[in-house]
Amino acid sequence: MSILYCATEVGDGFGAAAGSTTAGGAYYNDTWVSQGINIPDDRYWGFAIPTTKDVWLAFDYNYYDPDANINADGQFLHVMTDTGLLVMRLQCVDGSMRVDHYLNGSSATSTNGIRFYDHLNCLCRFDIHFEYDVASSGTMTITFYIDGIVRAKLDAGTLSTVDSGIAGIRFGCYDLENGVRVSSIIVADEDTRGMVVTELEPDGAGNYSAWDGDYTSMGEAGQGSGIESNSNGDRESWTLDAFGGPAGAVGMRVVNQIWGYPGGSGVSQIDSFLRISSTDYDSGAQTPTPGIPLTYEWTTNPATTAIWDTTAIGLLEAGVEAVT
Amino acid sequence: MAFLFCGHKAKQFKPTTGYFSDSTTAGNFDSNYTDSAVQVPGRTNAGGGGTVSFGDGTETDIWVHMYVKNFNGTSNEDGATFILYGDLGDQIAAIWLGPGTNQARMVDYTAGTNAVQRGSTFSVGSTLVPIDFHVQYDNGGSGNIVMDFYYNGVAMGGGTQTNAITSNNSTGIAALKIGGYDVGSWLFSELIVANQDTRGMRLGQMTPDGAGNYSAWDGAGTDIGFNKERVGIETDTAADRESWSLSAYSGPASPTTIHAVVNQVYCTPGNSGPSQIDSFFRISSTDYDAGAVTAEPLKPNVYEWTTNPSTAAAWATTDFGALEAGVEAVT
Repeated sequence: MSILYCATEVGDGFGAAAGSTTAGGAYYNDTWVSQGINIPDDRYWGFAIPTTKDVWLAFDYNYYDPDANINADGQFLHVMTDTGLLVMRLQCVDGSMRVDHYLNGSSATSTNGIRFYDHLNCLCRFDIHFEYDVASSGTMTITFYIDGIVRAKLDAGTLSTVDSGIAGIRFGCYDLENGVRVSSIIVADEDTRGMVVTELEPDGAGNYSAWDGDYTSMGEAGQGSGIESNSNGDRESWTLDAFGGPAGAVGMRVVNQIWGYPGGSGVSQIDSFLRISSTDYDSGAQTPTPGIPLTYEWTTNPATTAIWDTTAIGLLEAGVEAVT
Repeated sequence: MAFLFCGHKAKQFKPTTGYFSDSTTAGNFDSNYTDSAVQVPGRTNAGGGGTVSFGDGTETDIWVHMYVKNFNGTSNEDGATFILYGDLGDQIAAIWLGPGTNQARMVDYTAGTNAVQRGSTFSVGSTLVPIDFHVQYDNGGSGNIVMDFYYNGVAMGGGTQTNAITSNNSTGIAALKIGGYDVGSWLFSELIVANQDTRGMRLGQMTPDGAGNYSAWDGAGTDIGFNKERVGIETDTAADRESWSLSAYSGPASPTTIHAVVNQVYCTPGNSGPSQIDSFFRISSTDYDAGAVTAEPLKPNVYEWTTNPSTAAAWATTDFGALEAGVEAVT
């Protein structure tokens, strides 16, 4: 039960999109995040996740054309397996939203089985539960929740090729005329309904500085800049900016999300730690795969074993350790 | 016979912001019972809506009650004002505006997808009135969707509409969406969803306004709002109780009958620790627990007391001043 990926900004993924602060509250949930990810017409933006068979995808979506009565009939979401086979596609058809699913990975098995005739031009929360190769049966089930209620359950049938799981998610704006906007993205191997995400970014030097580069060097996914080390045990840490959610937030977990790229030799793993009151709390080393985020999760405050509160989050320093 | 959902405020319907709003304009609601109405924005050639799920997905006999204002639309509005969904997302029944000004009609979805008008188009107006929509889905294994609609207490559309289900996948009625494609701007208040006749019912409210006897949870009762998004109180310890005092009852001093007092709570379980939540009323230093339920994210948990648990007698408004409400975490 863990968070596999979070995105609050365009830099958390790869592809053609721009962060936009236009119309916060209407185009993205400005209580928790600071921008929407604006994908222009005929472009894609997406990300890889650790290959998982039972996975939830949550996001806010706004199809922001002021008048949905347009000739838009394109695709806005592709979900793929670890070998790139298509599992599901969502597309818009002149004001409605259609689900296509794939059992052979390339040709849509259903193209008109489910349609949502509403929720366009309005900020909506999607939670989509993929059960791929359910209990090794070779079948797939997809359940759609919009704004918390079930809007469709697709017992999709038997897969002709069974891959290891779902590994790629791509939002698109193919023939959607005026673009789409997604935001507040969470991927988890547990129920995401009711979850929200906010971000604390590195904003200052921390206790450790053994890696080359510092917090100012760290970009986000695929930006080509960051910090590096080839020495086992090297630690680097940084302070974090203010909690971006509302006062009184509850049910919180803390995730340190990192993109790591192993070199040709030397250390091959990355651990992440939180430093609280001069003590490091290591999460556990993971082996990075290029392009796939590593997420280190603390469900409780490791310094107290108590549930998180915003005061405790305000005291955090985050960091990474190079591990052989 | 139970109440499944009570609605007062915009944030009960939309997890994200920027769609519904609360109107405190006089005349948009009955100030004898409530302090605001929920404003549903007009949508022309565009969709949207506020949603709530209720029950356990097996309810087959549902009443939806609300007071409505400006429920008449214009000549170019002919979409669903509100719609009921099944447990697997299929559409079941709705009230549509149009096709003309000041008109509305019942529709059902016997095949789960395409709306079919049933009965005759009827007249509606802009004044503040109660409406009640009674929908039975395969109730008692009938194989039918049965609808009745009451506007200001009067049956409309030619009375009961009964039509055979063809390919609808639903087991029962499980969710309500208000607002949608091609409807005008209107307001609702005193919303009740129940599996009993709601005609003539009214809805008052009491909200947390101070600390109660218990404070084991993180946060206080007054931190609890209507927003479903991770703002409120929390605990990871079973048997922890939190309680709070309540604001003054918003209804009249001597209502005809008080059907029930409900404590409505939204709860999101964590990935470890207690998974259930109970609710209790504390009266004269005694706790009266309702019974624990397993919480589901974004779905209201409605705990109901049809009589005063300290006396087993019918509720009186004078009882409300002594109420303290609370919740308990249960493994």
